[in-house]
Order: sequence, then C-alpha cells, then structure tokens
Amino acid sequence: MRTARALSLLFLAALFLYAGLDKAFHYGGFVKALAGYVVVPAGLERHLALPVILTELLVGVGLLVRAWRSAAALVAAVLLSAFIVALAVNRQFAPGAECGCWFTVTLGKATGTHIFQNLILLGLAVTVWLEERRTAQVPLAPSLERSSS
Amino acid sequence: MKQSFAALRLLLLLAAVLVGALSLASSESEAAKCSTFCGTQGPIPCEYPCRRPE
Repeated sequence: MRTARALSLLFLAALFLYAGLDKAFHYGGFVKALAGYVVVPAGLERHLALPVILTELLVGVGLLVRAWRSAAALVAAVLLSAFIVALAVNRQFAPGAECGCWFTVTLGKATGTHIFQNLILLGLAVTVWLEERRTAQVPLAPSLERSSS
Repeated sequence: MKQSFAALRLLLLLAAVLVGALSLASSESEAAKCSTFCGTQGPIPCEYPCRRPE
C-alpha cells in the first residue's frame, strides 16, 4: 500500500515537473497553442502561459514536500479539471487544434486521448488529496471520543 | 476500505502509465508535425509549432 502511494506521488510529481519544464522550453509554442483554445479569450494567452507553467512546476515540487502535499494535490486536481474542460470545449468547437501539452514527446493535436489521460490523472490527484487529508486529521483522544458519543 | 482505496490508486496509476505509453506510441514525428501545421514535406528541421504559411 505504501508502495502504491509513493509511486503515485512520484509519478504525479514527475509528470507535473516535466510538463512545466517542457512548456517553459517551448514557451513560444505554448503561447501559440493557448491562443487556439476556445475558452481562452483572445490576447489573454500571453498573460496565462507563465502562471500555468509556474503552477505546474509548483505542484510538482509541492507533491514532493510533505507539508505542501495536500494543497499541491488539490491544485493539481483543479488544474487538471480546467485542462479537461478546455480540451473538451476545443474538441467540440475547434477540433484539430494544437494541444500544447507535450511538445517534446507526444501528440501535437489535442485528441480524446488527452482528455482521457487527464481524467485518469485527476482521479490519481484526488486519491492523493483524500489520503493526505485523512492522514492529516488528528485522531481524537479516546476520552474525548467517549464524551462526544 | 483502505485496501480498496489502495487498489483503486494502483489501477489509476497503471491506467495512466498505459494511456501515456499509447499516447507516446501514436505521437507525431517532427516531420509530421511540420507537415500538419506548416504544410511542409520531409524531415526538415522546424520549430514546433511552426507558423502556417502566410
């Protein structure tokens, strides 16, 4: 069980760090890809690119630091949900648009695979967040438990 | 309960790895990306995403 937890954390952290660095190294391309998203208002892509990259990098680092893990997992879930919505809207209204997800390794175009992949990652981020929340809750002392029941 | 949670997490992890591998396997080459977005042919060096021809 601990192994599954550690693997999930490492996988998510590595993924966010890689995604952030990949976008940073292809900054111009990422800005251009963002411009192709229907949900991004025209002209906002230049102001949105850096916050997205920094958030991804912070999530990657945060997942590796115990004190930040819960918040990082929550931000990861929010970020992935936003990506899912943006990709789904593009799939409906601008099919064949660039993804801007993995410039160096994978598909250039946004596809259903990206949405499916993000849904799985969202599930993983939520399980990390739930577990962190559960372990962070301080159990009541037995005397308090008795008096409250 | 704890075990089913761990099993779900392991399942999600495996699915993520599998879909990632599938995504990698179907990735476009640089030349294909250029062909798709610039209309150029052959393995010429280009910066992705390239500019579409004016």
